[in-house]
Amino acid sequence: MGVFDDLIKIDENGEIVYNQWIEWDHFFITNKPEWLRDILRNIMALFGHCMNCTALDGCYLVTRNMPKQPLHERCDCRKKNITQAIVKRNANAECDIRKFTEYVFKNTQDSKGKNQIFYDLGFNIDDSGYLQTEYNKQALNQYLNGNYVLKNLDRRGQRLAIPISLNGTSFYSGWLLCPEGKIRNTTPFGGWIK
Amino acid sequence: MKKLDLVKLRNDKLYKNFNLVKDMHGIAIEIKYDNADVLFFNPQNVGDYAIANVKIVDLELEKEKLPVELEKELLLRLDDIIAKAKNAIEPIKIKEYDIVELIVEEDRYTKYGIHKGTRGCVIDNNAVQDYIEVDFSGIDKNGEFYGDCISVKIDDLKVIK
Ligand SMILES: [Zn+2]
Repeated sequence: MGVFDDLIKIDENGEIVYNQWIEWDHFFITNKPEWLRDILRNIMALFGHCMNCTALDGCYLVTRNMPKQPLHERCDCRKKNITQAIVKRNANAECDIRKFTEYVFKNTQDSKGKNQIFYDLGFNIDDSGYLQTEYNKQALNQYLNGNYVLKNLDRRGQRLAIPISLNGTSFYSGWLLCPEGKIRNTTPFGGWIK
Repeated sequence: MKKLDLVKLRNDKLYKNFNLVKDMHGIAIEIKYDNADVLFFNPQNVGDYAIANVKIVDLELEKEKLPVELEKELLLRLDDIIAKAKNAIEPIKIKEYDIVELIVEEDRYTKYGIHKGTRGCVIDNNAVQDYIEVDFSGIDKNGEFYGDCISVKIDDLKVIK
């Protein structure tokens, strides 16, 4: 196994894809310590800077699948090439168990019918821990392969649709991209894969 | 300690009225004898802030500094920032997993197919510039997916439960 095994992947359609990772960089904003990042982002908000850009600062993306730079007129954002090893070392997926216990499985009305999808796949509220683990594992793996779909980007950040497969059925789940390869689940079901 | 130093609150006993909590970070904007006016940002809402007067003994000086260019710009804008400051950090009115209803019809929501009266579930405890994340998506009778997860201005929402 060489370094190119990480850069070049075969996607689900058998196509060769090339994964060059970058870190989005907005001037003056650091990734760590987190409290300083928060202060700097707050100052940028007070100064009227584009919050979409500051939300992207520090985020890892593959070049073939990232928002176009410049994001807007007079956007000073840059991108820094980073290795897959850095992404692998730092990335992690975070899915709160309450996404299942307090949302999906809560009741039909509040989950707007999403509970039925999971019941049909053979899961119920007692499987929330299993689903949480499975989501974290699968989403992280897909993200590390650059296998995500860019959804809307705004001041809250870049949303990603990431495929999840349960008992042979595949669909998208919703995630928010955070600095240094962290992805945070927003919604367990974000649409069928068509 | 000097103007624009970064500080951490190490004792919150006297500052409960400001909703300040221990370990919260801020920027010292005015130092007076044994106390300082400190700009604290709302940890629950990026862009929202309050200025509180704090005893210097209750503050810890951080070693990190603001970039010089930012300090300069901050000084230029400081009067305006002070004029717009709140007296206390305001907790946000909506929390994670609340069921909410959109009470306005606006382009910024209708472009995602979300209209006045649509119900959704709040999926994050933190806001950015008063915008919080709401999942309005659902599954119809035919098993088809509709809606989206979008950010919504807190004042445009009504909590149902
Ligand atoms: Zn930019």
